[in-house]
Amino acid sequence: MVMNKKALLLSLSSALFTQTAFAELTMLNDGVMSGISGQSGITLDVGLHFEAGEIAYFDDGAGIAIQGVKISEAPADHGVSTSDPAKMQYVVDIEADGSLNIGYDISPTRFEFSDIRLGTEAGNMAGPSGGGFFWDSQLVGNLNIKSGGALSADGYTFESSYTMTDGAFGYVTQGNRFWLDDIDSTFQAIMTLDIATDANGNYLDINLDHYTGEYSVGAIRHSSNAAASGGALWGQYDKSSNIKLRGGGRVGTEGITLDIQNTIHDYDFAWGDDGKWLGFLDMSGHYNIDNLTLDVAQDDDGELGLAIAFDKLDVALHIDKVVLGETKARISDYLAGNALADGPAYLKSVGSFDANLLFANQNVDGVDYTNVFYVQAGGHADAGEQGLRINAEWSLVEDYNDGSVLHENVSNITYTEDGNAIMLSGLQSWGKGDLTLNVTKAENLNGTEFFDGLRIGFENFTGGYKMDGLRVGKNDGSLKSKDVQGGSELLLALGVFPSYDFTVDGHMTIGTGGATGSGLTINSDIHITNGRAALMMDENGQGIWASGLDYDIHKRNMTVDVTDEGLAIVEAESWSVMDISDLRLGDKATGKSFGRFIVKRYETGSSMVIKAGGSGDICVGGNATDAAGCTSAGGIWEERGNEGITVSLKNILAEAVSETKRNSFTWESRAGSTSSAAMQLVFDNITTNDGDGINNTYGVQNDIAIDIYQTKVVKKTTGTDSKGVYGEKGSEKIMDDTQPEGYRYVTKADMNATPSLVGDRPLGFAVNARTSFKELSIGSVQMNHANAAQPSTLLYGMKFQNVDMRSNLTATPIP
Amino acid sequence: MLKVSKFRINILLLSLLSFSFSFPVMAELSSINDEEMSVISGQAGVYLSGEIALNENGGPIQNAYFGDCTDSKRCGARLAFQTKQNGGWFVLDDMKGSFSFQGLTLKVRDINSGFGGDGAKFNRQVLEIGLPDQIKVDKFQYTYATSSTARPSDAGFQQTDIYTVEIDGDITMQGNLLVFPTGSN
Repeated sequence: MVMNKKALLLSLSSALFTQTAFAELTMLNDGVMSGISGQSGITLDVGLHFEAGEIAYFDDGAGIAIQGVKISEAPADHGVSTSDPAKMQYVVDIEADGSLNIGYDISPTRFEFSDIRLGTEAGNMAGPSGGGFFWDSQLVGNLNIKSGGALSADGYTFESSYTMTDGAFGYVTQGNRFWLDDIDSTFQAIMTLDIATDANGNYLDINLDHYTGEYSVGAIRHSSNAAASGGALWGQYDKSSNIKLRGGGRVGTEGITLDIQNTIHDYDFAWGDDGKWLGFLDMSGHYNIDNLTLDVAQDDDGELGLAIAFDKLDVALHIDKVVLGETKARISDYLAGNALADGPAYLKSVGSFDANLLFANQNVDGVDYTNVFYVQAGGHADAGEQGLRINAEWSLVEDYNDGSVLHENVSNITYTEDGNAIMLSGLQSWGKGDLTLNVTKAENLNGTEFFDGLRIGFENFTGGYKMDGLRVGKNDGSLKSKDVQGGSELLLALGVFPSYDFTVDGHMTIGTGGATGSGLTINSDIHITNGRAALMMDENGQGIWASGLDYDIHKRNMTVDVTDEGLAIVEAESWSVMDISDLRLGDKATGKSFGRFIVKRYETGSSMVIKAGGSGDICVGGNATDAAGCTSAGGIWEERGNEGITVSLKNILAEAVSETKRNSFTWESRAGSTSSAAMQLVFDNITTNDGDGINNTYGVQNDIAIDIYQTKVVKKTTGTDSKGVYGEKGSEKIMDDTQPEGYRYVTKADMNATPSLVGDRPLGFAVNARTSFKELSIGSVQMNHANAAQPSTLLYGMKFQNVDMRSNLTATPIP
Repeated sequence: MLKVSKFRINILLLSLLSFSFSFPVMAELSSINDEEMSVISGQAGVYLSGEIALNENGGPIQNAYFGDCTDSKRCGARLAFQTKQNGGWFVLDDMKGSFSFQGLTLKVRDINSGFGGDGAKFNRQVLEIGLPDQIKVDKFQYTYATSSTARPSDAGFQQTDIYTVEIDGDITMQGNLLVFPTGSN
């Protein structure tokens, strides 16, 4: 019995470390040549050329297969394939402690397959293909295997380390390739394998405690222009994992079930572009998955797919610093604890983020949602037979009942800068739809326009999200108990809505090459229908709703680069039509409507730069640039710290060229008309120029700096507030943990007598904005009536020139 | 040729400020002032404090007409509109100044009682804009004028300034502004 367990463990461990599981091998055609020379142990010099027509995994009669499988020498040109044998050397020794030691040196080797297919007939799977993958690597490493696992002497312990160089990993559809190039990595791990038993029966226990590694990707490339790079990637990690693996899935009697606990002790990740990096540093947390099942099964439409489903996914992630526009050397110095050179003494950081996300089953508006993803063959129908399709259903819950306790606000995202935090509280999301994945090139196929890059498609992708509101305070245990407040209204300009229901069709194609040098180029066509977005919403769902939303958005040659300033996004051309059939007040479905609104936008050369750092030092209520000047100007000097986010937008509104490519705003109402005929007020052909009516480079510029900072909140009337706290008109709200509600009101006289109380003012969500334009022109303002032959023109033109408007707003809960 | 006619208005121009702070969409404004008799449900909403300043140091155009507020040129914003095809232009010129306020609140409010019994009949939601108790206005000004062309830089530009308004001081704005739709949409 013991021997049987050991044999099982050894075979499973080999499968796990090579990361392939073969249920069936067909059409094996290998050209293995080996030589054995004995020194202290056994040395194997291998030249390996392996080909298999199909390797399939079957589960309850349905199978998923990789076809055109080949192992050979990795070619210098990733676009070709060779049949030359890959050269490998293995040195096998029995160590003094009785362990088996295998040292290996593998010259550049390619593992590839041409297709992924699903079916029920072994060796003859046909139909749409999921496309092919290739994996090039050169490995030098060591694997030591000894008896005894973490749970018993019957288990095994594997100690592995390797260095990989000259790696590449790519995805191929219709001959178009998208790959990560020049991959180098190191890896060290000790893994134990045991057979164990719990209430659910036997399982294989796989444990990796503190496995570490570092990797770098030299470039992200696409076959249409292999010289262009999508930038470089780098990461290093220290993680632990425990996996409980059982036989049997969610469907039928066969399949695989996993319970996974992952701990991130430390993770650093960065994307670099021409020497400037966007980094997520000192990440930590966990992601645990309960009852993750793998089955080859049919979806609701009867299509076969690899069904990945789980009961619960619990993610907690802390990102200590999000840095923008830094050099790799400065990031490395920071992580090593060294003083920073060639710039400020601190990293240019946006701040830190904490995400708590819990995915589990839920019912939304009478519809049950779960978490299941069917990975299927066949991407976009017009792109060819190769591509991947993921029939996805997801469910992110706001509250979770573990059977005995209801846990509230389990999904939230907290942003912390300079010690102050804001939480997007009570996140909830749900939906279902198809995601497609193709590697495409610029061409028109079957009436569909494709672009160079990795195409992520959305087909009938129907879902929604909502949040309770914002909570503001220090990022500690008390944050969750802070009042839910409004303020997300201040983020509408950035496209953040407190609630959004949508159906999405379209695509986003990510290509390589930025505005200059490396970077990304994105083309997208997104059509949102049946949309319902909250512009403002309270905890009861009452608010202002853009309902009946039809939003058709197109972007061409939008480049994404990391620059000295931050993350720069520049659009060559973009146009959109937003048609809100009803702007409702109150309930999202039954609230009375202000009418219909149609916003058309057409822009050329618009841009957005996301920068680290918020307002910095500013004078609130005065026009001054230093503390003394601010005080004398009657303002309040605020030092809001080094962290924060600044978003600089430049919108260049172009002249109309068609009915959809134009800038216009239409309000349509049926109010006051005896026939209920639609009446429209139309602001048409809204454009910008540089004040001369000729050039158009300045546009409308918006700099929006976001901080979390203290603010003055004044009682507007004498009496008790909504929480029963008494205050006199004009007195200030001051935070005080000794008070039942955590605050009290302090009169102006008492504030003057104790100036230090200013330090206890409540935290608010501070948005400092500067809007400027040289000229905003409106071509005409017209009134249209359904019964009128011609529109009536109210204004034949409007020119708004030389505007520089600065606003500094702070949002807090209503006292 | 530029003619300047200027006089000061040192009164509180509530209408102007209402325009400045008005929401972009208002189907109807009702002067309901009966807060003590109303019922408020829902504690969410937002309390806004801050300031808005227009062209304190001039705008982005620097030319023969627009300056940076340190010279004799105009440095405020300029709005010109034409009501007759190929006609002249009405102009609000040299707009600049700043406002600061504390306690502008926004919330959706359910009115279903109070207001002398009208609340129960009304029984619907409104957008409640809670007016800040005081608004501090710092040297807000504009000049009303007529012009031959849309832009000062256009050929043949001529402008006649009719009057200039300057507002400086505190404005008391109490109560709530309730906004709600009344249409048949």
